[in-house]
Parts: sequence; C-alpha cells; structure tokens
Amino acid sequence: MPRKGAASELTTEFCRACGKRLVQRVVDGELMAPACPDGHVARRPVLQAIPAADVRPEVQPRTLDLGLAPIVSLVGALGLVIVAMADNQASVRGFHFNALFWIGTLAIFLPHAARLVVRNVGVPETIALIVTLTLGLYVVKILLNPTQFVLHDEFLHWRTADDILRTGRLFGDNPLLPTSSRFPALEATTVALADLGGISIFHAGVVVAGAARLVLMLALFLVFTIAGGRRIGAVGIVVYTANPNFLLFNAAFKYETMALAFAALCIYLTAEWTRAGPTRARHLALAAGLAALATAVSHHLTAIALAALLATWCLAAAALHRLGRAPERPAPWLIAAAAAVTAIGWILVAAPVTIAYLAPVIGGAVGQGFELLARFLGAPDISPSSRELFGGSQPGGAPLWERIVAVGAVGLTFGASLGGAWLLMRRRLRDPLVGAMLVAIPLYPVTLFLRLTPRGWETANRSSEFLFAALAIPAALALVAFIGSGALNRSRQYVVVGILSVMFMGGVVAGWSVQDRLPRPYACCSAPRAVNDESVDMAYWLREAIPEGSHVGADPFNHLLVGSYGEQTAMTTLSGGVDPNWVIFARRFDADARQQLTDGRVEYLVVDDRVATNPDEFDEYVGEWTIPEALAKFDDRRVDRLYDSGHIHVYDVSRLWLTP
Amino acid sequence: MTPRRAPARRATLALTSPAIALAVVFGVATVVAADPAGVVPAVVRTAFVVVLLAAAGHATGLSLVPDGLTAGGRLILSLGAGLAVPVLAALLLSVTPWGIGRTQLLVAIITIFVVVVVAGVRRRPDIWSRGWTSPRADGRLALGALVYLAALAGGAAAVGIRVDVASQPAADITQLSVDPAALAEGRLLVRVESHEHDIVLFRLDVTVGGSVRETRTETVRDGEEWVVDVPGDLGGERVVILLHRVPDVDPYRTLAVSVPSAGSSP
Repeated sequence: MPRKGAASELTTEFCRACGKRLVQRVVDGELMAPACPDGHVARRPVLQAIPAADVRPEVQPRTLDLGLAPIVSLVGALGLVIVAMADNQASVRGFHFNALFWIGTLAIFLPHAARLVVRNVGVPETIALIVTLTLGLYVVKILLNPTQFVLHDEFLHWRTADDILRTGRLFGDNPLLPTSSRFPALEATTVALADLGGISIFHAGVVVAGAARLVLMLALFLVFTIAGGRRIGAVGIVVYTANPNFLLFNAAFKYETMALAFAALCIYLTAEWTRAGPTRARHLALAAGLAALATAVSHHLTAIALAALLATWCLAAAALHRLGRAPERPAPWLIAAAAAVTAIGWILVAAPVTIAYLAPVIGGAVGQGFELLARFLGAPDISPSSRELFGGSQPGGAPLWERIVAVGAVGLTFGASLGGAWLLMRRRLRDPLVGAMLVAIPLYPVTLFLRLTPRGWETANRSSEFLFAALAIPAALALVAFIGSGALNRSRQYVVVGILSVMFMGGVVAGWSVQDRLPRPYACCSAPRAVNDESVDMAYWLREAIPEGSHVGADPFNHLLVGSYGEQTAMTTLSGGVDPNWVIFARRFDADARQQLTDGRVEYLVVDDRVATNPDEFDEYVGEWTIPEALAKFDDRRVDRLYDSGHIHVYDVSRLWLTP
Repeated sequence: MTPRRAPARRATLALTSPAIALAVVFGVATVVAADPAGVVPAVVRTAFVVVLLAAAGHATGLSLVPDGLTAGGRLILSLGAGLAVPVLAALLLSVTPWGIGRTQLLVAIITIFVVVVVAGVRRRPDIWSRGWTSPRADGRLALGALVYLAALAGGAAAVGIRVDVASQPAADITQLSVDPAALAEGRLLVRVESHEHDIVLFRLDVTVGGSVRETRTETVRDGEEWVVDVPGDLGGERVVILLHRVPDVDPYRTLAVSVPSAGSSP
C-alpha cells in the first residue's frame, strides 16, 4: 500500500486529448483515479445517470476487503444443501418438491443480488460475490445428477470428446451432431484434463464448463464495469443471470458454454483496447484477435454473434460521428474484421456442414414467425404452427404463479432496458459500446414473438444468452438510477432486489421446464428424465459386444446413448442417415421399412418398449395401429433378438435388407 | 516518484520468475508423465494438471498483455488462456503423425509454455521480474477464509448427499444377451449379468421348436456374470432362450436367434 501523504506515479494509460501518460495520485494513502498531468479529463463516467456519489475511482485501493462475501457464500452453500434435499426427495420418492427447489435456489441468488446492488461494495467483494454466485448456480445444475451427464446436448459432445480420446484426432465424424466435431475447443480442453489427470470425460467436462462459466461472468462484469462503473457492472451481472438459459442450458457440457467465455473475453479485451495507449493497444488487439479465433474454433453461432456485436460497435461509433458527438472510444474495426474473418473462415474451411445444419433451423424459425405474423394481421388461408407456452395446458405444465412470474419478468426486463435506453439518450450517449448494446432492445420482443412458434422457439431461446449480455447494461442503469441516492435509497434497494428476483425466477421458468427441474423417476423419452441405468447398460453392452461404428437405429432418446457410450454410428437424418423411427413404429416389415433399413445399412435396432408410455411423442410415425402392435412385429423369424434387459431389446435386422 | 512499498507487503508471484515457473511446470509434468499406472490418485493428478494449465494460461496472458490490466482482468485472461492452451495443443497435434495422446499433449502444452515464456521475455525483459504487489490483508481476511472453507464444505456436502443417492441404481436390471461374434461362427454363447441387489437363482432354458434342448441353473450375486456356452449343434435352428427367476413360471428375459450353420458365411 502506498505511503500516506501526496505522491504520484505514472500509469500505463494515456490521455486521449494530448497523448501524455496519465498520472495516478496517492492522497492520504488512497490511490485516486488516473488523470492527465495537463488537466484533461482522462475518463468520464459514461453513464451520467449514476448518482455522482456512486462514481468511484477506477483504481481501487489495494485492499482485499471481501466484506460480507464470505457470509453470503455460506448462505448460498446452505441453499445448495436445500436444493440437494429437494433433488433427493424427487429422485427417491418421486415427490416433486418444487417449492424446496425455489427456496434453495433463491437462498443462493437473493443474498448475492442484495449485496451486489449496494453502493459501497468494493471491487474485491464484488468479484468474490460474482464468483460464488456463478459457482453456486452452476452447482444447482450439477446437483440434477452429479454422477453423469443427463442433458441432451451433453451426450453429443461426450461423443466428440470420446472420439478424440480414442482416435487421437480432431474433426472425426460425430453421427449425433456432425458440427460438434468441427468446433472441438471444449472437447480438446476436456480431453487434455481427462487424459492427463486420469479422470472421466464427465468429471473433466464439469471442471472445464465451470471454468468457462467463471470466465464468462467475470469478463462480462469487467465489460459492464468499463461501460458504466462497478455498480452497473454488478447489477448487470445479476440481470444476466435472468437469461432463460443461464441456470441449465449454458451450464451444460456443450460447445457454446466454452465459446461464450472466449467471446466475453474478446469483448473485454476490446473494451480495454479502446482506452489503452499505443503499445498496450497493440498487445490488447492481438489478444482480442486470438480470443475471437478461439471463439470461432468453439461454436458457430457465438462466433457469428461476436462478429455482429463488434461490427455493431463500429457502426455505432460511425453513427455517433455523424451525429456530431465525438465517441468516447475508438471503433474496433480491426478486431471486428478479425472476428468476422475467423468466424466465417472457420465455418467455410473447417466446418462447412454448419451451413446445412443452421439453415433449416433459422429458416424454419423465420418462416413460422412470418406465418404467425400474417395470422395476427388477419391474412386468410394461413394456418400457422403455433406453440403453447409453459408446457401448455397439459398436466405437468408450469403452475399459474410461475407463468405470472415469467410474464412479469419479461415485462420488467423489457421495461428496465427501455428505461435505461431513455436515460442514455437523454444524457447524449457517447459510448459506442453501450450504443451497440442498445440494438438488442428492439430484438428482444422479436424473440419473444418467435417463442410462439414451434421452430422459432429454439432460435429465440438460443439467442437469449447473447441478448441478455446486451440488455444487462441499460437494464442495470435503469435499476441503479431508480435506487438513486436519496432518503428512500434503502427501500428502493429492496424493490430492485425484488425486481431482480422476479427477473431471475422468470428466466428459470422460461428456460427449465417444471417437469425436468428435479430428478424425477424415469419418463420416456427425452433427457434428463429418460437417462436411466437400463439404457446406459444397454449402451455399454453395445460397445462391448458389437463392432465399433456399426449402424444402429434407436428411438429419439436411446440413440443418444447408442451414439455416445455405445460408440456406434447412431442413425440420424442429421448425419445423412435414415430416421429409424419409421421402422420401429411401422406396423410390419413392409417394403418401405425394409428399404429404410437397406438405405441406412442399419444392422441393429434398439427398441425400448417404454415408448408405448408416451404415444403422443411418436404420433407422426404411428398410423392406425398402436405402438405395442408395432413392436410385436419384432417377433419376425428374420430378426434376431440378441439382448434383453426387460424393457430394452436389441435386434439384428440385417437379414431384412432388400437385396438388389 | 514511486511510493516505496514495505517488503512485507510485496510478494513476487512464483510463476513470474521463468526459472521457478519452468521448474514447477516440469515438476508437474514429471508427476503426470511418470504415473502411467495411475498410482497417484486421480484427484491429485487432476490438481497438478490444473496447475499446469493455469501456469501456461498465466504465462500466455502475461506474454500477450504484459501490463495494464486490473487484477480481475489478469485473472480472466489467465483463465481464458488456460482453457485455450490445450485447444492450441490439440490443433497442432492433430496435424502431426503422432496425434493427440497423453504424452503428446503434455509435451505440446509444455512447449507452448516455454515458447510463450521466451516470447514474453524477449518482448519485455522485465515482465517476469517486476513482481506482483500482494493486496493488503488483515485479520478479517483470515476469518473470511474460514467462512469460505465452511461454505465450500457446505457445497461439498450438498454434492455428497446427491452423489450418495444418484449413484444408487434405481431399478433391478438383469441383462440376457448372446455374443454376436460367436453367433456368427455358429456358437451360442449366452451371458446373464445381474444387478438385482440380491442373490438370485436363475434357470436358463434353451429351446428349439418349443422343446427344451438344454437347461441350466445358477445362483448369481449382484454384479456377477454367468456365461453359458450352449453345447450341441444348433446350426440352422431357430433357438429361443428363456431366463427364469426360480421359482417363477413366466420367463424373465427372452432371446430368439437363428443360429447359422458352422462354417457358413455370416
């Protein structure tokens, strides 16, 4: 710590007005904000709506004052114990203790949020709180099943990691998700940890995904802090946790989890670049470019979103110029170009399969969105596909109070973002980074609209982790401005914590179905509830008993296990194969069914008779017969039943192939 | 004028000295590489690998951006680079004839580490020796650390009580299977694997055209396997294999296979 009295030292930053190195003064033992020796304003608070008293010096005194963070983390740990109890109750007794889940999760969230919105919290305490909030909420996902992966996408990426371990090569063929092996960053790091550490892919994946999540949250905090100060950064992080994918989807072992971390790191380094002197700027530009490259190697959509954000940032700077407002920061054209080139270049060179993969998803979403819009506008002759929200009216859909909270959360998020944008406009916005973030505000209601369509839902849901990173700044600004610094400060603080809680809960409701929130007993036919020992044992038997890479067809859930733990070529249309469900649910082995088997060179079929417990799932495959009637055809003498574990049977169907 | 700092408040991060850093990294590498039999517990090895990746990430971050970052910025740059170093190693190894393996990864990561250290020193010779000013700590920090330990214990307890339940098989499973490879050669090799949480007496009936050709009984414990090599020439026959839990009448598991004649092409 510096001595008492007045002293000063040169910093590594430079004055934007005269180019001189900034000086950091020490007054009464406290490091003050860097300033130009000629008195130019080195850095002004971007968000003028923040009460003046809240604008803290950028450089904090070098004290490690963790404040209440340890106590808050202890309360969070108790919350985890409560969530674990709720999970155990659900998995052992089948008792869906949703209230206990909420109590535990909020015990983690609320104390952290309450502390993060407080004005006089130092940077070390803020970082400590963000770390424990991030890890605490990550463990909530792990508690769903701490012994194995249970989410759909996790099996897809397990396969890629397993392929790298077995073959020692990247870019193998992943029949479950061909794009996964083309963006192997997550799996490469996981394999390194698993192979060198002697642990399983599951355990290594949990560590890597957790580290990536930590990088994401801390990088976002630093970006928000650069844009608006410590408090905006802290509240912005809490707003980001309200993104519907935060608690579950983005905590999963999947390539986007890693890519988001690299993208956030790139944005942070770019933000640092905008306020650096010439030498440091070169270093930061190189580092940001490498982070963009790492993003490109990790995940297609995240790389594209990163390039789009950086481009918007540059365009915002150009727009500010045209409006006659000198932007506070230079435009990162070079880094934006690097991000675009690496993203597009990687897709074209290493992963051209991405285009065929994404086009139907995005095209379907846009098409159904327009159909729905046309219907709202009264166009005749259009009967668009629509989707019921919150699991619909079927038993097991979200309870009414959760639906109200979710709708309220959407309103609060949008309202707060609009409020923040209005405040920024009123104060003559001059920061192109913040300006670029504002573009997300009109996009947000568009994605909400897409949620009303079956195919648009996925696109809308996947975009929330990007949109919330941008919405967080204006929303946080509005909330901090609402608290103000007057006599009502404390009571308004409580109101803001309440708003943040509603936003967070709404995100959980929208992103994690009430049925899957707790590890309930087996239910056909999708993860996580379909993950069960019998299916896993079947996959291990396949791995041991039949040649690796055999063509195996299975129902929509078991094909994940066949293709991952089973190490077989699970038949999917995504990888250019056939859809084996047309055979499994056919009334008999007629010419069409046999043609499917022949076309896909399908040697084995895995049939789980529990599919009959959820006939709605397979409506499109079943005609005027029942599922048990369809499964009875496997008694055919041309079919060998090689395996029986009660519910699951494996058949050799190679004798049904049509001969040319 | 630079304010002088008390020596007690100044600490040099071990990894900022190239010699110490390299010694640490090679030490870790030796532990990992010299343990092919997996004698060192996986947790310890994993901790060593995490240290290795963190060191490589920190060195990469320092070489890329030698100065000017806040402690938080330095932390995430090191973490992010630590995640990226294995990706770079894997990408490089993937185009070599050696491929990606344990030794190759270890060598590649250490090579990257040495390269970034050398590059960093060439770029800014002083970055590795300027040291790192430790934050001021007081008694509250020690108390805070204790509370964090308690919180960590709480989190670990939560995971522990879940693992205890989640690792228990939810149902009794018995697998009955034939070996496809043996079947292709005209042999009938039947396997029963029990996960019944109990000792179970099984009876295996091998039937052809409804008549029993072979019957065996065996007591199988939980987790045990019972393999039956069915004798006799069954080539060209449609064989139905029935597994019973004695004394149940209805079959518990059923298989049906057409046994090819020995010597016939599969």
